[in-house]
Amino acid sequence: MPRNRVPSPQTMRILRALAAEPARWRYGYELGTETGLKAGSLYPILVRLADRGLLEASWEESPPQGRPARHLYRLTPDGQELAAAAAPARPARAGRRIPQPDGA
Amino acid sequence: MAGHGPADMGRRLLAMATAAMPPSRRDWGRAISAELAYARSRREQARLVLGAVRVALLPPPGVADYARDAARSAALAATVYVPLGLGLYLGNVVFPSPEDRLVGDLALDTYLLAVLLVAGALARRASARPAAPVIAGMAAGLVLAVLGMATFAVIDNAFLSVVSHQQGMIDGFRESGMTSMRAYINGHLEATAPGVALFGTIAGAFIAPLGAALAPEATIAWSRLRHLLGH
Repeated sequence: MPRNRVPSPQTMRILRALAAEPARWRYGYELGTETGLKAGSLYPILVRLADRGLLEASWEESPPQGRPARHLYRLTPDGQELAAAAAPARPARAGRRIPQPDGA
Repeated sequence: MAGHGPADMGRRLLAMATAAMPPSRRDWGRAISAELAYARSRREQARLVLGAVRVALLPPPGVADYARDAARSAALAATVYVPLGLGLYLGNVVFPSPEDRLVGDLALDTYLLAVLLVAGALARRASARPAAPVIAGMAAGLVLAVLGMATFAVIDNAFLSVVSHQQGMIDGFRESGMTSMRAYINGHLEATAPGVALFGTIAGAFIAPLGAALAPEATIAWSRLRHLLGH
């Protein structure tokens, strides 16, 4: 499998949101609301994640009456692995920049 | 129903963006179109259209990765070219030989071979994509060829009085029937540059995959050697 680069902060937001409930299929709109990412940023990231085999997509089976079926997303096992591996690294790195009151 | 409102404009733009996507990506265009029906405001609709346009502008799957492989390899080739360029300068200007244009042809070829092998090995380490070593080798070969020709162009023009004493130059100039050594040298460089670039690219495409294939063996051999030297 190709090595994955360190995800961007925006990608991490999506990975975290999806990894919070890995079994649940999510709508793009819901992901955008949860991560604060606009559709212009959200969809290119989702496409890249899917290209790398980190995200799987499916079509909604029972859409609301008179509305089209929507795309649903969730992480693949590789995506969950990446989310788990990348998640602790960021706060630790960011944490070093925060001055500690006791000088630690 | 023929609509002319902003929503219809959005749908038309989305349809155009979807049509512009590679076939393997068109499902994304349809997904964004479906979301348009759920958008709560014109602003949301506009953002969805922008999302589709951005997806349409993404490089096709795999292309961006290969571009990264090529860029990484080109950067490596440009870096390791520095001693080679210095060698060309020393061999042609500081310690010129009337017989040979290059000092140590064998050393030069070995160095180029090693760079292309290493480019392939590094591409394999960085990526599992099958064509990665080929792309990396082509990029490295092309960069080495271009930098080599550029170096000769600079050396030959800046130190014409030195290089014009090389026997090969004298013979070529005589046979060309030209009246200016500088014009002969530059004409020769221009004529050979495309061929050299093509040769470098093709050589890289064949040699780098060899480096990729040999990389695991080389790693094992290197570990054994270190193990032996350590005891």
